Amino acid sequence: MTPTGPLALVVEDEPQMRLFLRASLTAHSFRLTEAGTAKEALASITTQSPEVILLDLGLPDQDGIELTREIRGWSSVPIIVISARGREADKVEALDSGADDYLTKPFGVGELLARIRVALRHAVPSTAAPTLIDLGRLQIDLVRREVALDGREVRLTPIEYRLLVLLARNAGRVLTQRQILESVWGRRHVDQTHYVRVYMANLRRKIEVDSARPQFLATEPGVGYRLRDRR
Amino acid sequence: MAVGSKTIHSRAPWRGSLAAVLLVGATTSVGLIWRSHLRLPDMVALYLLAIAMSATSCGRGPSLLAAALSVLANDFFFVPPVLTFAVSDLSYVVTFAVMFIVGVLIGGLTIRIRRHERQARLQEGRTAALYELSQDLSEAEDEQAAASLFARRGQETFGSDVTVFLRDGQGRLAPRGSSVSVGATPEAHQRGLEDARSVLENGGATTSAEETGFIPLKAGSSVVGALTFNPPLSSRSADDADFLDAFAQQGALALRGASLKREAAAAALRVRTEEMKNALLSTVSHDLRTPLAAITGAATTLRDDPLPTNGLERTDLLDTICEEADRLDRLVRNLLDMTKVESDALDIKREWVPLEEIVGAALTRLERALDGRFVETALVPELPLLSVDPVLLEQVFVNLLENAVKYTPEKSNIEIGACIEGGRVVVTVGDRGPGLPPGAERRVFEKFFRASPRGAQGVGLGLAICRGIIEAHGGAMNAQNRPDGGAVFAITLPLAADPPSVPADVDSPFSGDRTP
Repeated sequence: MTPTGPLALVVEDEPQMRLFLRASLTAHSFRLTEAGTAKEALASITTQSPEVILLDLGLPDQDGIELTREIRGWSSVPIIVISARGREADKVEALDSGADDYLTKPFGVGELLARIRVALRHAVPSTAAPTLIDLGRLQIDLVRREVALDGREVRLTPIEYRLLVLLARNAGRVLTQRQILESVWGRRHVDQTHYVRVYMANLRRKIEVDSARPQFLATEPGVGYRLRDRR
Repeated sequence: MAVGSKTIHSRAPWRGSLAAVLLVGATTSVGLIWRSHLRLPDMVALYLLAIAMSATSCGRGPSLLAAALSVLANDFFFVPPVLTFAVSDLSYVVTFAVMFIVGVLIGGLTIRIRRHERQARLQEGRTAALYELSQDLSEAEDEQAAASLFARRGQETFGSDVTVFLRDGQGRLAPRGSSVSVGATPEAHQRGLEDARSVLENGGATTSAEETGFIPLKAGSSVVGALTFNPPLSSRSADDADFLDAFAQQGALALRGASLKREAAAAALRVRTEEMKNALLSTVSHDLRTPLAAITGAATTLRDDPLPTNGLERTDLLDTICEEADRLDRLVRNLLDMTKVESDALDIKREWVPLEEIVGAALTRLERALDGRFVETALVPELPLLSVDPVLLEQVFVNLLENAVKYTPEKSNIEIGACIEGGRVVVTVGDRGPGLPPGAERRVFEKFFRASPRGAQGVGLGLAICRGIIEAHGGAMNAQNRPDGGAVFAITLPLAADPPSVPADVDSPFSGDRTP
């Protein structure tokens, strides 16, 4: 059976990792193209137009972050970077440079597929502006600007609302502190990371059952926040 | 207590001369008033008294002046013909000569006695100062403390600000102790540094020391550093220079002692590091091989078994591979973290974070491992923002929680609490397990220590990493058994002075606001 799903480009120079990605992606009916260097990757993107890119940050010929910036110059194809743990700064830089999400080595197939699914979903531009974000237990009515948790209305301040809507529009996807600050508070405040932290804490108190064990608003330490999509 | 050279010639010379003139004048007045009762020899005696007095209280110059004035005044007022400098009898010339010579001799003697007395007192003071210095320096904890103390004592002794420069690890000179704050005059220090370096490069040669105002600190044949006075010491007699040398030498010896102590400590540390490395090697070879053996075994079984293994067994083998790979990952992670903590490569990126977020992130990361456990979090709501590295601190909680999961029965509770105690925040992670073996409360934080050697998995690095991270934040960790069962681990962190403010939000109920 030949796979018929979306075309994924794997940019990775380690053969074992490629083997694992090939096996797991084709098993889930992705079509696959592979590149071992940044040069091959660029060639493959221009000729084959992949629908999603899995990019290892450690490439032999070019820095993965630089490559991300280059691709973002002319393409909005979803990019998921793959990086080792402990390189939080790299992840943040990659995300701020336009990557959609990241995976930390080692990771399992489940995690890989979840990230790809979210990235593909956000890649499709919605034609009509949505009026409702439905995250199961949490619903946001964008027209009436109302937030409901388990059907009960939650009262939010304007900033809390903006913060929640931003995360909800990107449900399942990680947003860096910088991206959140820029979007909610404006470009001038991108270094005030404690703003996000304080408002995130307030938001958690309002929409989480136990704010120290968040079910929706997950922290990715050193990177940012992710609204967990439990649909 | 200034026992330097400053006090010896401190009085202005003109004041001594004035006193001599006044003394001779007073003697003359007395002679004139009691003229009828006093004979010429009495006057000679009175003038000698005046000369002796000016010698004792005013020094050599004034005493000579007093002798000359006495001769002249005696001649003018008392020797006939009176009120002229003429002398009627030649024998008076002899009287004058004797009077002058005796005056000079008395003056000289008094001054010598006085100087000896003063010298003795000064010497006593200096000996006491040197003694105190060596006493104090021998108690200094380290080189830094010794250098600061040395500078302070120098300032007290010589009445001039002192900066002590010492060789650092690379043999370069750096200001290490000063009686003034080092930050106060950076340019002066920079200049001082260059001068001090030239002293060192000259091997502490005195010529360069005199040119630059730097005094080399020599211990035996080696120069350990240099010291400088601001303002520089003036008018140094041979005695003063000797004292300064003795002072500098005393300091140099103590400083070298402190540096030897440091080297000894470093050597001891190297030995311990070596032992640690050996322990690490044996642990790593055992703990890395165990999961590897399991993975290899399971994987080869799945590959080589000609008959399709029955479903259940197959799942078991696959589970083993996943679990053991996880274990390997944890192990490698811990080893890397430990290396970072150990090698001082811990780069603490402090940010203002609510504790709740850090605990929340750790609980989220361990969601699967904590499945089925009741984790109670009781953080007081008024906790201020903490100035910590959120990534490292999350690691601390992950390690503590993983530990709790590892060492306590399934489904037993875990409690996380936080409160403020005397300007510090105390965070506790408590469990309801078997508790710590007696005497292990401290040892659990040592590397490769395992509470139960064979029972649980892990290398015994998790808590050592926690302690390393917390101590790098200026905090402390301790463990103890709870009176009602189980163990509790406490993290104490200093609270930062001024958490930043956050711009206020319109706190009105939002849903009523429909304006775009």
